[in-house]
Amino acid sequence: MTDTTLPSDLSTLDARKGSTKIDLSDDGSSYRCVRVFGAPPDRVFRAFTDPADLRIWFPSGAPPGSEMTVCESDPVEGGRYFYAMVIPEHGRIAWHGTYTSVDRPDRLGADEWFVMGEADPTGPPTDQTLTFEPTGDRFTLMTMQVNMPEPEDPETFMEQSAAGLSSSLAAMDELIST
Amino acid sequence: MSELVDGSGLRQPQVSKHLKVLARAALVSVRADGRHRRYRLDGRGLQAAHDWFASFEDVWHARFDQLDELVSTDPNPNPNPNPNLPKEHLP
Repeated sequence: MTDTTLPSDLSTLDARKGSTKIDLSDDGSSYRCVRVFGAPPDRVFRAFTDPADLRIWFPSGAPPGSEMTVCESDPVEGGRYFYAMVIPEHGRIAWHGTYTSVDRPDRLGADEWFVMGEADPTGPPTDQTLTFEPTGDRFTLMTMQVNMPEPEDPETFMEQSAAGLSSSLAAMDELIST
Repeated sequence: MSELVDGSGLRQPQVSKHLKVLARAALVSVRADGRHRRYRLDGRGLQAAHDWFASFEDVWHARFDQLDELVSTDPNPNPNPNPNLPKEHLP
């Protein structure tokens, strides 16, 4: 992991605004995104949980012609969220989530299942935690920590991962090349 | 493979199993050399993984740029319950 210590002066913050920092753990089992946004935490919190806001920013970066077909969110503890997108020449991908903790506007926790195709979510979820810290007088430092599920049997996990890796990478390559 | 068996302390069937997995993921390549099978690291698999992570990063950069534009230009934290009411009248 690289240093994500907050800068102490606002001019540095201004410089950092707009820069996303992403660190993948050495064993690939987790990643962390850090980003400074130009609004207070309650506004950023809303952007992460309000379907009208999510529809504006979440599809960004998807291949041209992609469409967000479902965007539902009930940001209360135990509430669900469900996003689905249709990617040209690839099909449907979906994110099924359950909010495990909702502490507006400071913290948001969720279990999430990512699904390719129409299938229902199965298996253990990823564990996601977002924190929103006020920074300066109008900024928010957002940290998103995503932990992959613990493999029950490391050897089986390694076999399955390796078996799926080539096909997954090929599918991903096709997805991002279109 | 014998060097890996000696160096890892694992039994040959275990080392063989791990190497097959790594070969399927294109992380090692193998060639026959008489009675021996010689393995070497193969950067293609790692390059593919690196490329995948770069594309994954690109998606998050794009998403968060759009999110920042949204919240920076519309800093009101609460959705307007009555669109006919000017924002300055909201609590």
